Amino acid sequence: MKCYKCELKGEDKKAAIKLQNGAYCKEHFLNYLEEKIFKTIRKYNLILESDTVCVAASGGKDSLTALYFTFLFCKERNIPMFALMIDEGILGYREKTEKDLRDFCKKFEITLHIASFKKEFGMTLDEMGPITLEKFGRKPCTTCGIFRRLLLNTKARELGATKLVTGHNQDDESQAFIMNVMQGHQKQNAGLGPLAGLNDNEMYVRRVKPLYFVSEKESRLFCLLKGFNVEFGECPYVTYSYRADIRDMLNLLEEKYPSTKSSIINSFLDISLELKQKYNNQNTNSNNSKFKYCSVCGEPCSGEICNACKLIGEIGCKRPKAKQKK
Amino acid sequence: MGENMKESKDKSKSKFEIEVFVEKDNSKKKTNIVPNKTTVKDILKQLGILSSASIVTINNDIATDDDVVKEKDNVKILSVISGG
Repeated sequence: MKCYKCELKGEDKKAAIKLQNGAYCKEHFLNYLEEKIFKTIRKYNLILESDTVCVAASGGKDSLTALYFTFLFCKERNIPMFALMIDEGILGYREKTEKDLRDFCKKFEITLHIASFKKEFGMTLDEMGPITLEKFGRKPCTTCGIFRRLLLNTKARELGATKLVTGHNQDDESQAFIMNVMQGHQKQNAGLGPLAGLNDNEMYVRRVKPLYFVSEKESRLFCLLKGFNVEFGECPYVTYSYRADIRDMLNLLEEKYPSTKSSIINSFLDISLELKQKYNNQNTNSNNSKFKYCSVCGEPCSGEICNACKLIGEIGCKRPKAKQKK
Repeated sequence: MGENMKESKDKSKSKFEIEVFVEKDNSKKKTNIVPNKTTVKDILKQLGILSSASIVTINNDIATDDDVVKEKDNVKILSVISGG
């Protein structure tokens, strides 16, 4: 297979990947990916010159790809940025990705902050998981997701960030949309998109997803071609997750019907404005405010008590100390 | 000359067993190839691995589905699925 861009120039180069719109050699693929990601950032105003950007990074292929391109974008425009890693304390998994992330940040001179479950909650996920599973039938992924989101938001806010970049890619987003549809969680779909969430709130660092249109395969290929050292493995708790089943189903469909995943996210984008408007209108509480705040910790939430505080009560772990924004 | 052509025809149809490294299982799996005929896509199909969920290298160079495999090639199948 030959690179179609090279062929247009009368050159003959082997392709490294075949995509929807043609096959690309290594050089043209790297250019294509950079253009695609920067276009996403610009089109959806994901990062503005007035922002301070925090990149949620785990050391995996997607967060390193997001971190690299965010670093390039911010450097060109003198926009301050840093990386933030949440160490859940998953033995045999997290310490490997942490090393890759530290090496990466050292190479590109990116400031890295790390918040750990052990320090913040007094327990690792490995310690919490069995408690929530046995006592409440709650999978470790649920606990992980709730506490990770809490720490990402509070730490990014304390460090002065106005935007939180995550490495969510086309695969993640198409899975999320389908999961929400299948579970009847349409309101959660309203919060999806390259610029996540429904509204701005000073307590909530708005999440942005520059890799929204990037597939997992593109992300992995990028890391390989750039020589980024990435530990390739799945979280040991993935077998508990509903998402893994949806992922496998979508991968089978993609194999048989190419562009399935991109069609799903484009279909979502087609209705996303109406969804956001609908749930924004429904979101107003008795004080005519769009937000509720947890009666225990004061963080924005959808009910009286936030999910994190409910979990802390169930597990009996420590509550993270809230700090003032820098 | 006729016999030589038959011999080379037979050789070209000969199947060889090669080992490919599968990253997801961190293991080596045996597959059958016909040198210069069997493609990356054929190997993935033999092993039940999805092309959309993998990147294949041949002799440490990125390969596409239509690339053919030779007897002494070092083939690796890398997974694109990672994380949680």
